Amino acid sequence: MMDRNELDAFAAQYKLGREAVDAALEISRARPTSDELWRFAISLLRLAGALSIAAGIVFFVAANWEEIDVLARFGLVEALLVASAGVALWRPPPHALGRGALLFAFVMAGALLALFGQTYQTGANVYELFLTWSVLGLPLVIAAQWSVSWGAWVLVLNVALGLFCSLRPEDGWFWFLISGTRLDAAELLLAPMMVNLSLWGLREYVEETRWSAIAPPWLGRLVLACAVGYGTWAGTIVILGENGNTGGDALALLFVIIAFVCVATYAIRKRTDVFPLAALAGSAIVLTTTALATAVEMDDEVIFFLLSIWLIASSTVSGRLLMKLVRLWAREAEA
Amino acid sequence: MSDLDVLKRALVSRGLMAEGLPTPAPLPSHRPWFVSLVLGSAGWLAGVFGLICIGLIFRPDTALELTSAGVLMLAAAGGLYALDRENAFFDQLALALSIAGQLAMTGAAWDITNSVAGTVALVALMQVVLVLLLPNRLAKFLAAFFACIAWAFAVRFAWWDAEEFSLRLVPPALASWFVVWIPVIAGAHALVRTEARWMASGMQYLARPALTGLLLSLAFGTWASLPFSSAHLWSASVETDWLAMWPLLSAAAALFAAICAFRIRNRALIGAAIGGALLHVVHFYFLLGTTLLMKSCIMLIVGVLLSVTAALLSRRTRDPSGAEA
Repeated sequence: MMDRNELDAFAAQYKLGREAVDAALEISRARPTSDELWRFAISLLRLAGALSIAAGIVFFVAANWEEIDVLARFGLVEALLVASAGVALWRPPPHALGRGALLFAFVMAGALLALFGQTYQTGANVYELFLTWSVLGLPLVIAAQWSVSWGAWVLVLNVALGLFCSLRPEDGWFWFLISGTRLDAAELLLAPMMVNLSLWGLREYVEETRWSAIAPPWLGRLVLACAVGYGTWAGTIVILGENGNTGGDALALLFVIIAFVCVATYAIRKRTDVFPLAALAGSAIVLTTTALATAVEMDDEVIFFLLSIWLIASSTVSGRLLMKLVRLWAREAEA
Repeated sequence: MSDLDVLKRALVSRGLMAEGLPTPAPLPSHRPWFVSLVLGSAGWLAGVFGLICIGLIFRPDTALELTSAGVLMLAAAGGLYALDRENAFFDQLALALSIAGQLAMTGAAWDITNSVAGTVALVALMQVVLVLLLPNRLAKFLAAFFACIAWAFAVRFAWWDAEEFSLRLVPPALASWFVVWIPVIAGAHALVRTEARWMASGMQYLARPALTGLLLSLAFGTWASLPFSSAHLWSASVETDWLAMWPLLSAAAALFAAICAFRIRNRALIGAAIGGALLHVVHFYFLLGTTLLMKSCIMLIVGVLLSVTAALLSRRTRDPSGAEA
């Protein structure tokens, strides 16, 4: 299937007429048939419907309605969980119904955990809810064999990790794992970065197996973007010296740099997707701009001028390199 | 043989293209969305810093001075874009100058009108002019996106000024939503439907980035039409009203954008639109104005309606396999 921008350039270069453009869109399958459009619309409606019903149940649990007693509330959510599992058994994935049912069951698992915490006042932190949800919901996601379910799982996991790193609750089972290590903020952020990088590596591996359909490139980009985001966050903390520039900070920054170099090396060797390099370039621009703003001690107008020029220069260099690789790898893929 | 060669042969065999046409220079590679995101964000920030720098040095504080600075920077941006369209440095410098120029012009508009509605209306007008004049796709797309946002703000502030929305304002607020976004929806639909026509008439340099801007504004820009009371997420004193339903309208607009994006086979836009719809539902959860129990009922009803519609359509289009699109 051809890219729209290629077709734009093709039509402009050969000055194609209306009929020829219509034919070009049809031949290159750049325009979906009415059948494809209907199927997409139906899939979108199904997904939106399942997620709306799931959201309705989550809202219901959060409402904590006193007219219904605790047992009935648990009964309702558990019944829905069991029913959706039953539907998935009746029409197992990769059937759309089975996949949708397991995604629904994954959301219900989260609602059940929230209801448990709400009812028994477990005192658990919010991050624990999301973390436990991601762990207990994992079998459902694996069973669904669907990238959308994996996307939802990645979001839940990263909400948990993000809440943990930003709030530092010093409580819960994840904290218990690392409590003896006296990690400061930048060092702590390395953990979610590595978790996401590991998931990225796992997706890269799965891509080469018969399960590649459940791990499309967008999923890898999502986890890699999360990893680079955490790494950039850690690097920014170190550069701004928020922890008082301890030795651990320098190590954290070094660790981030090494991890990013490994990602870049892998992407350059694989020569298929420029996204990892673009994400790293964005991170490098943020980190170097922050470093420049922190290091330069001059008048404000000079600092802003330098920052502006630096942003233009660094993004220009990044853009040129990235586009060079886009062209080169596209040529290699064609050949 | 490349995809383009295959396409060329097919068109020649159908008699829609002359045989033996000279092969033109290699097509410039399309810039992937994530590269545009990096360049656009950096250029935008550079523009803001550049304007601050100019502000600190020259201290322009009258409408004339701000307009002069804005026009100068926009003209410089246009010149750089026109000078060398393949030079990445000039592109980035031009983007930064263009952003700084637009911000200066916004300041001038505020100085002249001294009203929010007047300022954003002038900004909307300026963005439309920039969509037409700037010779760069990224700049055109950004201008189209910001034109929609500015248009939404212009209508709301012209209609209600800065007064807060409240229960008595629901009908006009709802009407304003349609006044703002129906033209955007219609514009996006028309551009998708007439794609072949504008491609054949050589207008793709203008229509393609404009379409992207319209679709992204439908996915995310509808926040500009949200009532101010929706920002009071945790305030206990907010009245109960049906403005809490607002994000669901936005979610519907985002889903429409997803369908349009599918029609032009743009996966990045499909993902962005679905992400936008999810964010609107999350916003709905946090909004005050009605109880969680009521919201739960609304979501359940919406969910059932969507599922039933999907089932009916599926039966109509004979999709017994349940296979994914």
